[in-house]
Amino acid sequence: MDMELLSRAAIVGACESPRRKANDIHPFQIFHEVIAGALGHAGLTFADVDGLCVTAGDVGEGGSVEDVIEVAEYLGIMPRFFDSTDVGGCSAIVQTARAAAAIACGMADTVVVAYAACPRWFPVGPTTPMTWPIGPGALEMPYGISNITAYGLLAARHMHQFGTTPEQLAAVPVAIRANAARNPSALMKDPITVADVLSSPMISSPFHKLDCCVVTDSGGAVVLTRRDRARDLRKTPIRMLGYGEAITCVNINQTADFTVSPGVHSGPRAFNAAGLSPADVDVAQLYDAFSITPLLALEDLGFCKKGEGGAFVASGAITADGSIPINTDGGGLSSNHPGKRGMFVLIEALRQLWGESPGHQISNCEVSLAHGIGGFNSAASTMLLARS
Amino acid sequence: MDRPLPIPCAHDKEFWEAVSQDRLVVQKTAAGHWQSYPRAHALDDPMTRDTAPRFEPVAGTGTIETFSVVHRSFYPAIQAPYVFAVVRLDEGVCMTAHIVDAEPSEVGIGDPVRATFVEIAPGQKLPCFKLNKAGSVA
Repeated sequence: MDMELLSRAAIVGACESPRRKANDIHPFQIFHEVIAGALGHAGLTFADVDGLCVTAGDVGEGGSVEDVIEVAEYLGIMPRFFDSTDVGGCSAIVQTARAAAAIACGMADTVVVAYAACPRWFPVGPTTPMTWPIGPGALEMPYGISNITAYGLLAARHMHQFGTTPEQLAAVPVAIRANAARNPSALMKDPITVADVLSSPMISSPFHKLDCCVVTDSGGAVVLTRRDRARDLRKTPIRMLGYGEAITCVNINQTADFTVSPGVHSGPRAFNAAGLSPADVDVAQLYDAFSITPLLALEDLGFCKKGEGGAFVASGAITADGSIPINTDGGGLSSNHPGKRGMFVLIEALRQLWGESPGHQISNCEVSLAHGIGGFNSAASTMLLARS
Repeated sequence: MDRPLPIPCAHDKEFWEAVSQDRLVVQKTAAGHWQSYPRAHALDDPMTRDTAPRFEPVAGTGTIETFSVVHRSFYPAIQAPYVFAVVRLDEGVCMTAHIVDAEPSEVGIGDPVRATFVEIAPGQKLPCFKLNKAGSVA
């Protein structure tokens, strides 16, 4: 990957909605709020925007199939570049890479990547997961799969194969809740213990309720522009040091290895592009829909060896004072998860570089990592970021 | 959410016909590789149209690759708790499955299982598996 070319684009602003419960607010209203917020953060306005990347056709997102058109129309803009690549939770990170590539080759000057969803209340749109009971999904959907069960299958196999314990899994939500306690916008702020996680109701084994993310109504946006334009703006421009993405499968019966995530592909792609290793990363935002998700990411990105993730998270390495702090805003497990948390993973990675984390700000953050997962362990995107 | 029922297509009709007769078939390619779920093409020879994989009977035995006991069902037609599993057939391919006729606490990864066919709606059967414990009868 030509990172020199990609660095013609810079990320110059970001905004995460403080909303967590939106009652009767249309997701498109939140799209507008966070885009305006991110543009204001950068020192730009809607008049500058000529590119728009969104996903808005999934659960609670307010749109349908031609989602990027619906959102552009509601906003009242006519972008000359657009993208609506939807690979689930990591889509916003994937789209941010596409936005940078578009800027680098002149398809746009200033691109907004945005996401909003109100799954807590939104009354229409898809509710079924992933696929249909015909063709590839005919041998999966009739069995009643949910995302909780899909990731539970990964955790169960990891426990069987490597001896990972429920207590070790619980160390993940416990560490992340401690970060959320500092974030005024986090949905869940009260500290929890391993015992609290293990005594919460079993949802789909081995996941207790507190192994699972919160469900919120919220949104977020980031703004990218040309590097030469970025110099005059409000924030220190952020550049991509490296990027990688991968897709595998959405039908869980096609999983090659239940102890491996697609991060095993996206991570090395990102680190190789950057010429960096995990030891160079100061803080990592790792998509946390479930306790197993960041544990697999730590292994597959190379922060610890395969099979040692349980001991690694239980050692305290992932806490704010540990060797690799993760999910410093409180993550999806405690702060914000409307459905595609990748946007907030990216925003918190950026805020760490700007010194603006609402949770636990790391001192001297030079290299920040954003890692998203999508679908049923189906897609991954890994982005390494630094100040220009 | 209602329980989704499988809808056959041209390329997997033979599979569902077999299931309706309590038989499990899996596709085998011309090169001898098993593949599942059914496809109209061979995964090991995707450019050649005249070597479509053929369905062949299998013993229906395998082991539990992984499983999750679902305590909160999102599908009212599927009563919790149920054991959602992925079974690796002895032929090497994986199938999504329920482990039926067993207490969830009896089920373990690596346990041997064999196919059984469960009627999930009038006239609609679905391949599932039950524990195939050594020494057990039928």
